[in-house]
Amino acid sequence: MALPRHLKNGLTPLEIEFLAENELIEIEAAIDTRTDLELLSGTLPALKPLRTNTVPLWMAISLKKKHKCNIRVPAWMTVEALTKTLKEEETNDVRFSYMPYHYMEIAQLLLENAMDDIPSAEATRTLLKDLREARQSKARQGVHALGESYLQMDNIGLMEINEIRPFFTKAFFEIQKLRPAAAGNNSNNNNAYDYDQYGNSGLSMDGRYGGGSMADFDGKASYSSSTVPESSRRFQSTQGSRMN
Amino acid sequence: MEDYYDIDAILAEDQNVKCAFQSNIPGLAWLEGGHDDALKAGSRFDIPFWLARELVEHDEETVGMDIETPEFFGPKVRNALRADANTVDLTKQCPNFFRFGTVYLQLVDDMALSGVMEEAFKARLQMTMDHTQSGGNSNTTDYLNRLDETERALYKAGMESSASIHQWNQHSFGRIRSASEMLLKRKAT
Repeated sequence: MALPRHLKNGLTPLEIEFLAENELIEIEAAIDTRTDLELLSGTLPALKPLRTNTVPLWMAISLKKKHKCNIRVPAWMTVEALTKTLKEEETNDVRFSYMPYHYMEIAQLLLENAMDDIPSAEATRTLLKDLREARQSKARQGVHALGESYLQMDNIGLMEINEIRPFFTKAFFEIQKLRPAAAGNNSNNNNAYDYDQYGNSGLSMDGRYGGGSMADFDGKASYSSSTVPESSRRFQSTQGSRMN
Repeated sequence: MEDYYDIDAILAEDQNVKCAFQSNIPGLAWLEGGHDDALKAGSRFDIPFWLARELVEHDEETVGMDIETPEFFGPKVRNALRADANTVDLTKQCPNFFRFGTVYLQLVDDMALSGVMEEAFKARLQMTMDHTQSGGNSNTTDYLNRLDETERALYKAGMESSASIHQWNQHSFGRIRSASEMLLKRKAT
């Protein structure tokens, strides 16, 4: 595709921020809309003053800028909650502690636009920064685990995934390429077969094309036919994703 | 299988390997630069890897020859990689070390080498990752010089993503807006 290179790696931080603005948040509106709000994503109940209304973040920020609402700080973003999470994060070396999927984006948007609604905003900011650094170093540890068939990282946020995505996916493909033996080991064939296959790679290629069509009609050849298309499909899939 | 049009793959296969021919081969003397017709048995010289592969895997007639293990896959480098992969200067050995390694291993059966390469790649990955996250302010030139092309591409990708997050944190992006054309249209209707 003719996308610039920095867009090929996935989402940009700005796009992620845009996605995060669809998250719901509680506000105390200062206006009365009287009618329900018809939005593309559905209908919102009418905003009433002196009551807690749940609206998308983008609307909350827009209202906040017009001084028409106060934003309620989410429960996970209070100083107490963050201190607790940070402690948890530091005591457990492997697991990520629970945070909302969009926590970085929401926190940044709130700190930017609704400073006066956040009690002790500076402390919150520092705590978030510490938390992020602790999690970042954990994500870095993920490199060790890389090279198995998958990599498990629970509770990681979208922004954090996006940061390590280009590096990890590329590294993952390279590792896969470096271990050709893994392609044949899925189906339980013995090692001798593996050696033979990679010893004469030219021959096995011929056999693959010739034998593949015959195996469709011959029931006896089903063992070899089940092993071969799998490995060729694997090659295709790696290539396909590299083209993206 | 590499992508046919991938320029890096083409460059990687251009690496010279030393080949020893076992029999007289008519019509191939030009490989060595000679003017005779037949290549003599026992000649030993460098040819690019892609050519060696074609000669070995030729459909009609296989040429009897041995591909010698290149020096950078030899025991010296292997032991160095086993001992401490991070300190080995791969650019000096072969600029496309890992990429060439994968195509080389498709042709030559060397289980030990594939293990060494995988372990080395993983060990060096950790260091590359750490450097991308440090924001490029530590002294990286020394370290960058030791990376092979694959790792350099990885480093670049990691640097770009962490730089863009950093920029986002500093609010230097602005915000996503509707395109100006859309705004005009909205006014018109």
